[in-house]
Amino acid sequence: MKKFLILTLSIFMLAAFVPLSVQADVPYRSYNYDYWKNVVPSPAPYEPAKSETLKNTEAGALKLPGDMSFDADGNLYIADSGNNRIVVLDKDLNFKRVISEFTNDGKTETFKNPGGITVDGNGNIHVADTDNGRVVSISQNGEAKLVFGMAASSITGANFVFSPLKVGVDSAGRYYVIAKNVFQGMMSFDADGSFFGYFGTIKVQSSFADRFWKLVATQEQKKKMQLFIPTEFTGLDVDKEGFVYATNVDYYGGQTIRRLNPKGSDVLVNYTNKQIVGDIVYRRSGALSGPTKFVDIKARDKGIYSALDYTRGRIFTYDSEGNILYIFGGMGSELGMFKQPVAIESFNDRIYVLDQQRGAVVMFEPTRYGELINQAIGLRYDGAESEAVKLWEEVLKLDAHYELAYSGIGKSLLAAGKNKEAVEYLKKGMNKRYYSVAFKRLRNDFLKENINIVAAIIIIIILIPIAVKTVKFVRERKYRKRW
Amino acid sequence: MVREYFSLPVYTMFHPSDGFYDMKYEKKGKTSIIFVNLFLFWISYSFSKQYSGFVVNENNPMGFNLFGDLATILMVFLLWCTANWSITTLMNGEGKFKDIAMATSYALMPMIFTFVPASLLSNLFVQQEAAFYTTIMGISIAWSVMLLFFGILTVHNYTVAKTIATLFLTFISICVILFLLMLISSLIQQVWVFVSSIYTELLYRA
Repeated sequence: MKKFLILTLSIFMLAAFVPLSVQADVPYRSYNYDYWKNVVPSPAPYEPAKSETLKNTEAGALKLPGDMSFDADGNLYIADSGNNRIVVLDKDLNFKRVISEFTNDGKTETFKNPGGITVDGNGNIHVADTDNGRVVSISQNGEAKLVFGMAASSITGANFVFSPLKVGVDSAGRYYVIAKNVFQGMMSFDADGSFFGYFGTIKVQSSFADRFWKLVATQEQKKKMQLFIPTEFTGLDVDKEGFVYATNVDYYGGQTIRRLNPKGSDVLVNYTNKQIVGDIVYRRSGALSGPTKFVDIKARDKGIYSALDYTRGRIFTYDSEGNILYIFGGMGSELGMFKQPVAIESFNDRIYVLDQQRGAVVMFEPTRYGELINQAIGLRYDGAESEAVKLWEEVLKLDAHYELAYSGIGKSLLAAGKNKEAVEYLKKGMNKRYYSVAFKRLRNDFLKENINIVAAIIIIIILIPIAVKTVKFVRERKYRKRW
Repeated sequence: MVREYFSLPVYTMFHPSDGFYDMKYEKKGKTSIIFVNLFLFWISYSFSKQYSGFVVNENNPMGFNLFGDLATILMVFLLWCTANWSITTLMNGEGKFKDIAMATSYALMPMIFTFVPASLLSNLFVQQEAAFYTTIMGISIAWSVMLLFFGILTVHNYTVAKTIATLFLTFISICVILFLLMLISSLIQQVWVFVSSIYTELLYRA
């Protein structure tokens, strides 16, 4: 008996050392945050499929590329900043062509360190031609449609030099430009290139601690403090409805993703109990520490958006209600890891990341897990919750911790009138809003069915104390202590 | 038995001045009631953390620790009593440490009575009704604070103004005690590091 026990024990202990390979073969660890803001490991939602540096093509290697953008047909335009050109690839990252010059009023002109690029629905290419201090819009055949800069004026200050870094265009042709050393917000320009105004200005908020330190600091210390400019935009993308998704840096771990309406105010939806800031838990010091710094964002289909983290090379994907869908990626040298990620794009559910230092575009394909989540969220966005149930059930087979799946199933059960099951699922999904709806229905049903008993209990509760008091009153002694 | 352990505390809830007076000056208070009430408060506090309804419960069940709760309660209780005692002995307070502890434990009664039923009731609430729960909890806590105030006032035979001043000083002395505790712990740590480094040094030299 003892021998048997020792044998079984040692087998169990050995089993603890055998790695269980359930994850797809990816170099990074995927995870998510649960309702309690704990890190929960998850299956890989995306896996790296290809990395392209163009080294072995006639175009030659990319050199410090700054930005990229897809057109409607799935051609990827890369602003190859270090080589002063635009490179076009197809959606499988095969080389197509190079745009190194364009004609402007009959003259041939070139780019100088172009840092930002975007392609609109008509195939027009808009380039933030950084070191030339201008924004260039060219058509597919290389003819400039509009070239504009911005001179120093009373609005900008006398020493202003216009250096556009990122550019976005909405369906009305309005330009949104993130420029170097401009902290008033993005710059917006009309379709004819005239300056319209600053856009989406982030209010500078000083905390109580800041004000306290300012109070006690010396004059010299104060001068140093003023160099801290809290927020500046880092990346933008215009979605199909003409809203501008923008990322910004916040040293205090505040809001770092915005969805700006045409008036420039933030309309990002967040129904969750967590801020949309990327990592909620992170190390305060050491390697790969500090809050998430988003450098670029991509508005994908069905209200989903993905943002790219510069600090730890992670990609955070959120849905239209502010839930984190999945997190993946990391810093390193293997395929799928980054050295200096600067731009993110997406086409047909694939995700592409531009690595500036390595001069490479990395393509990620969704795994079954990622695909299921994308589809289910899409169905929910379209209002077809009941169709999403099958997908959510499959998600739960792969990841039993996925709260959105529980609340998705719960919501469709609620719609089907199965309140009891809905309550169970919505509780697991930590969805207090819909739990309340389901529970209220359940409670009403219970009250309707048992109205007699409930009424009887209430009457008894009221009657018993009255009776007791009456008896006490009758038995009352003449002398009574206070207690 | 019942009168000392139940009737007097309950009477004190509704008649704080008379109740605390009887507790101290008529010598009706029992020392053991401190432990009984602390125990009951621990149970009801932990109960409400674990079993209050889904829509109002913001405590992570994974982080639930019965003995952690007990340690927290005892720490806060001792800190409060010590700080208050150290101030009131200097300010002509008539209460002994025992009286302060007893008054504090009497003041826990409203919370002991409400936490468990409120938690049970909150299981029947939906999000729109969560305000009821927070109101009940808020009232019971405010009641306890009020009792504590009258307890200190009566036990030390203070005026209202003096009680407020004492409470403020108690708060400051709590901060001082915490600061000293931190100082001591870091000093001990440094002494320990010193001793252990001498030990390693000796190991290498010998």
